[in-house]
Amino acid sequence: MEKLGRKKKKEILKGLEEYGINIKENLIYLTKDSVYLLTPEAFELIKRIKKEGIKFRAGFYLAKIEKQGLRLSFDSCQLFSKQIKKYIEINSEKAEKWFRGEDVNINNKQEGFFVLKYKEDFVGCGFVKNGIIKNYIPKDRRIKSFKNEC
Amino acid sequence: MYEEILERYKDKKYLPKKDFVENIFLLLKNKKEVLDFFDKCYTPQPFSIRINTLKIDVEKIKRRIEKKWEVEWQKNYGLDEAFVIKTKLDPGELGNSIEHKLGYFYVQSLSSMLPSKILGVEENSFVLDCCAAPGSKTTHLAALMQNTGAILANDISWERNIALLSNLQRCGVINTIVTSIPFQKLAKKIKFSFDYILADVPCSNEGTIRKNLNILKTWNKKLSLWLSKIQKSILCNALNLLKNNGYLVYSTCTLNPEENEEVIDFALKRFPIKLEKIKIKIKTRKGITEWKGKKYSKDLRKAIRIWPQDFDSEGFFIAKIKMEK
Repeated sequence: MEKLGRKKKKEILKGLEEYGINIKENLIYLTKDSVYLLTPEAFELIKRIKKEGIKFRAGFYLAKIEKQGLRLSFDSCQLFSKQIKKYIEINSEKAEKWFRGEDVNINNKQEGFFVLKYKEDFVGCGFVKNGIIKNYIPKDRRIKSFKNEC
Repeated sequence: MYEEILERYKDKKYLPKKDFVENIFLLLKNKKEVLDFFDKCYTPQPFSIRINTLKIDVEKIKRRIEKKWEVEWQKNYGLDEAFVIKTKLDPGELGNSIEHKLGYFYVQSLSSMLPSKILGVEENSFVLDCCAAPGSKTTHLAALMQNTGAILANDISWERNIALLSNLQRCGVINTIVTSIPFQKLAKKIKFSFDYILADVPCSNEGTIRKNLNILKTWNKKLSLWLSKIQKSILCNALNLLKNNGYLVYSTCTLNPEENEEVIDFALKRFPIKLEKIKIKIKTRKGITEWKGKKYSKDLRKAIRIWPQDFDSEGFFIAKIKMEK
């Protein structure tokens, strides 16, 4: 766990704001390039646990810092669904491919990270380049048979 | 009675042992009730889900799942986030659905939703979950706290904690810290106390026979007595970490008193605690105050026993304790 400097924190908060996300009073920390989110009370608890030399794991995996910007985790897309404003909508055919873990063709000329929206769900975040969105959906969240979901 | 049970279920793969039948008869004191219990044990348990309100509103998902499956909302039982799935499901159908992959629900038995609910956690509080993996109750606690405050979730098994961590992420939990050491060891290291504690302790799982008939085969008296010692140790260590006026819920999914009332009685004799009356909307029975010649505190009537023939789920025992130093 790496304590965030003011500059780094500002950079991450700005990255989140681009998606429309405001994490309010909750705290973020880094492990390498991964950004984690915790409540201030959980952070307080960690301080006390550390004092006693107890090993622990903590934090919600919020996003990853990539060269091209901040990539939201799969679960952040649903946790902050009421705030997300940077998204591209896809149809069921594309959603099926997406949930299989494949890259998807989309009609978007902009480059950068976008959240995908299928019907009313935000279903992950990927990098758009040359009209293709790169898939980052975690393996355990992929769906083999999508026929019941259309 | 035992011969009748053997005859009644002779075509079943697993049959109960004599001591187990005798225990159930001693608890229910009525032949018809014993048969009702075993009939239920041999009836598969309906699938139920708890909506993860950290990611989606109950009303919103209700409309969705009603289009997929025949569901029964458990609002009348005070379980506002729970649905029973009435449709016959294909293997893995719930787990492979888009709603599950997106973390909108957790597959959990109705009875197992009660301990977290009964604990009555408040937002911004400090909570300890002594035996947390794989996380059904931890994620429920986080949702009840609306992702505020802090939960320390411990489980002795690192393997089970992998599932816990995965479920915390899937459910969008941001207030939980996971540790993986024997609880007694953890309790000795910790120098601070908690507002709420959930002690859903390891048990002989008699209440989950419907889900796993193999329990009938593996059941033995010695296991319960051995577990009882562990449960007493976990409960006493947990009570040492409970704030004054704080609450602890002790629960098991087993029915025998050695793992339930006897454990609470043990703690009542050693700590300045009292049992709280549990108010829920499902049919429950009072905790017992006498078992095989042993007398327990009359306060144990405030604990609840959930029998599968009364409430169509798992058998459970729940006691709510208040610390009054």
